[in-house]
This record gives sequence, C-alpha cells and structure tokens, in this order.
Amino acid sequence: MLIYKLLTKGAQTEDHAEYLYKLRMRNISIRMLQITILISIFVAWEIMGRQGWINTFLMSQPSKILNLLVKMLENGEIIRHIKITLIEDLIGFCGGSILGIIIAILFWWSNYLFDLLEPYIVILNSIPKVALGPVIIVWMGNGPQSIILMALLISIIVIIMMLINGFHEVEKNKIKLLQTMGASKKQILFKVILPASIPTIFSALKVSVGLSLVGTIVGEFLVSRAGLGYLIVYGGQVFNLHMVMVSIIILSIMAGLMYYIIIIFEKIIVKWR
Amino acid sequence: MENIKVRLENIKKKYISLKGEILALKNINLLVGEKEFISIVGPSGCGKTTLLSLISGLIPPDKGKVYIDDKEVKDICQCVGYMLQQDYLFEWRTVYENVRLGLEIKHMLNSNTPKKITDILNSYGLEDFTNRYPAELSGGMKQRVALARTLITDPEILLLDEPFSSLDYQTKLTLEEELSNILESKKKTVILVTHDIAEAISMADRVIVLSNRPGKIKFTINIDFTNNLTPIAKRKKKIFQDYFDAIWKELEIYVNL
Repeated sequence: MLIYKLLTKGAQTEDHAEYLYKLRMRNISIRMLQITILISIFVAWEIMGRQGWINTFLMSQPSKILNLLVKMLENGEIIRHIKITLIEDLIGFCGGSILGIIIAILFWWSNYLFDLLEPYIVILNSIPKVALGPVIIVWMGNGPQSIILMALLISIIVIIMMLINGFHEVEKNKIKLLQTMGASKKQILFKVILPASIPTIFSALKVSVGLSLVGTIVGEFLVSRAGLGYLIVYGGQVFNLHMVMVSIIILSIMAGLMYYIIIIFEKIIVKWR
Repeated sequence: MENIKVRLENIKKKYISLKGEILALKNINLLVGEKEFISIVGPSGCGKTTLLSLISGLIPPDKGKVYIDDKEVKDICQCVGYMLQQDYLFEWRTVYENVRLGLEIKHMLNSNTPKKITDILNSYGLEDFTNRYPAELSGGMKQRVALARTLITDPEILLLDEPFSSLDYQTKLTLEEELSNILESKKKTVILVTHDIAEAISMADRVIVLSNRPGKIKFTINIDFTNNLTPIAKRKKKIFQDYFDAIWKELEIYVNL
C-alpha cells in the first residue's frame, strides 16, 4: 500500500494514478533487471572460477580483480594511470570538438572551400585513423602529445561531418527571415545557424566522446608508457589478466560517465524541447 | 493617390539555374500609395513572392527599378517588415526573445525595449506566454507572435506573403480581423500576397491580379465598401460577391486541373 502511494505521487485522478503506477513500475523493473543482469554475470563468473570450470589464469575472476584493484588503489598506481588517460582524452576530445566546430563554421562560411576540400575530408573520414598511429609517433615523438593527437584526429572528423550536415539542414526560410531584417552573414551565423544546430552539436559530441577514447587507448597501446591503455597492453604481455580486466572495467565506467555528463549538459542547454 | 510610397518601374526578373532560365516577372509597373493596402492574387508560381522579395530589396531586378519614397531600393530597406507563409519562430527562443529578434538584428535595443515588447505582447493577448517556447503554442498563437515580431520594429511598409495560409479557417478569420484592427490604429502601407480571393477583398483597398508565368499585371480593381467594415462584416455584404466574381473571372482561365 505504501509502495502504491509512493508510485502514484502527483496523480490527478484514479485512472491517472493507475497509469502512473504502471508506467513507474515498468521503469523500476527495467532498472532492477539491468542491475540483476550485471550482478549475475559477475556472480556466475566468480562461481565458475571457484569451481574450476574456467581457467582463472586466462579468464580472470571478479574477486581477484577486486583484490588487485584495492591493492592498486592503496599504492596509488591506478589513480596515476586513470589521471593520465583522463587528461589525454579530455585534451584530445575538447581540442577536437572546438577545432571541429571552428572548421565546420569555416566550411559553412565558404561554400567554395567546402566543395574544394570535401573529397579529402571524405577520405580522411574513411581511413582508419589508427593506421596513422605509427606515423604520428615518429613525427610527434613517443609521448603524450602523440596520444592526444590521435584522440583529436579520430574525433574531429566526425564533428566536422555531422556539423556541416546540420548547418545545411537549417531551414532556409529562417535564414530568409533574418535576411529580410537586414542581417549580416555573421548575424545569421550567431542568431540562427549555431543555435539551430545545438542539438546536432550534442549528437556529434556523443559520438566523438567514445571515439576520442578509442584514440587515446590505441595511442597508449603504441606509446606504451602509462595510462589505462598501457596497463591493458602490459597486463596482456605478462599474462596478468586481472590487471587487464581492472583497466577495462575502469575504462567502461569512464566512458559511461563522460557520455552522461554530455547528456546532462544537453538537458541544461536544450530547454526548448 | 496623394503620396506614392512604393513604385515599381518596368520590372523584369528571371531566375537562372543549371536547367536554364525561368522568366518570373515581366513588365511590372505598380504604384502603391502611402498607407494603402493592396492585395496581389494570382496562380501559384506567377511570381507573387518574387515581387515581395524585389520590394524588400532581398533580390535585385534584372531590369527596371524599385523605389521606396522615391529612393531606389538597392539593399534591404529598414523600413520594411516582411512576414512569411509560416511563422518560422525560433524554437530555442521564448516568445519574448522571438519578438526581440528584429530589434537585435537592426541594432535597435535600448532601455525601453523590455517595456515595448511587453506592451505589444499584452495588446496581442500573449501576456501569459511571454516566457514560453514556441513548441507550447498553437498555430494561431505562433502566427500572432510572428506578427508581433514583424511589427515591433514599427515598419512603414508591411509585406505579407500568404501569412495566414497555414492556419485553419477560423483562426485565419480571427487573425485577419486582428490585423485589420491593428492597422486601423497604426496605418501602414501594406502589400498582401495571397491565393485566397476572399482574403484579398476583405483586407485590401485594391486588388491586383497577376497572370500566369511570366507574371504580368492583368487586372486591377478598387475595393470600396463605403463605410468602415471589419473583414468579417465585409464578407457578408452583397457587393463582396460581385468583387469576388470579377476577380474570379480574371483568374478562372488559368485554372486547369
């Protein structure tokens, strides 16, 4: 009864209460099941390891992962690697996003420039940027600067492509409306093109936040000095699969958190929907 | 006609594209008096919108000249308010901010602006929607906001490009009535482009019929209801039907289904 009261909070009528109850129950059940699935996987994994059904040397095991994580937290090692990866990724992602938005604006400003450079951008978009890794390291040196550049390159192209499309999809008559008021090109950019493209900018950011992390991790694979990517490669080489798993789990949490931060920003900024 | 506000002289306008060229307007000569309300009707694609674009200075004519107040139009004239077929409100701006748009673009913001916007919103019955976003408004409400956005800069010439065509019939009549009320107190030179003959007659002092492409002025008729009537009242008069028939006859030959 108490649960029913809680779940029907704010109901206008009895039918509305019924509706709210069903809707909220559904949402709660989805959340509960999501958590249950996650826990079940780890529990099954742990049991199979303990029973000797799987080889924990190759497959690792939740309890051992947890032990290692605690140990690495105590000596501060994992924090150091997380910090390195996070900083590299954030610089690459933010740099790529800001540069990408600026380049997209330039392409909008000059249609000629865009038509001129379009084939190069299309090709740049299609080649796996990871293939450029060794070249970047040779040119930029074996350090964080190369990793940041990888993260930046991998995310910038998506931003440019998605924004160019978004800018061109802005309703022509909204631009005409401003023109009839005597607006300059700069006013058209700031009063209609950019604000109308804010939802597109957020979609592009959501895609590129994951891609920049790919760039960072691959960069760390290649540079092999520090960071979560380095821990994964190192752990793999010395057959310390627990270390690999610790890094992967932290990476997943990182990627998820960054994605949600963007969604929160979107909710704050896009108020009109 | 004592004072000429808008003068079109021998206008020719064509559009050139990859496929070739299309002659949109030919030999257009038109005088619009100060504070006169004229309606332009014609078959679709006859260059009605082009005519408005030329007067506003949005595009230049290929031949001929457009004058406002005896000055040749070479660029967007600040004295023109242009209203498009749909409201085209910016969905990321509140009603208040949408109305402010014209003032921002024309660099007309000052300390008096908030009061000015509040006043216009009040007089259009929009005071409860000041801080709402367009997504929360009905079609008629949106078009009312668009009207406020156009009139806030107090243009001397109002160009209306089928402004009510996207609305349902009742809303359309209401807005015609309201626009006519507003213009009653603040006389302006108005050019209304429409495909709705009844709207043209009930709003205008003079109706101009354009021919099929290339658009030429085919027929002009003065509308006179003797005493001041509202658009809805005009629709009920017998003479309304006579005007309608006269214009319909001129348009009719272009109707092919």
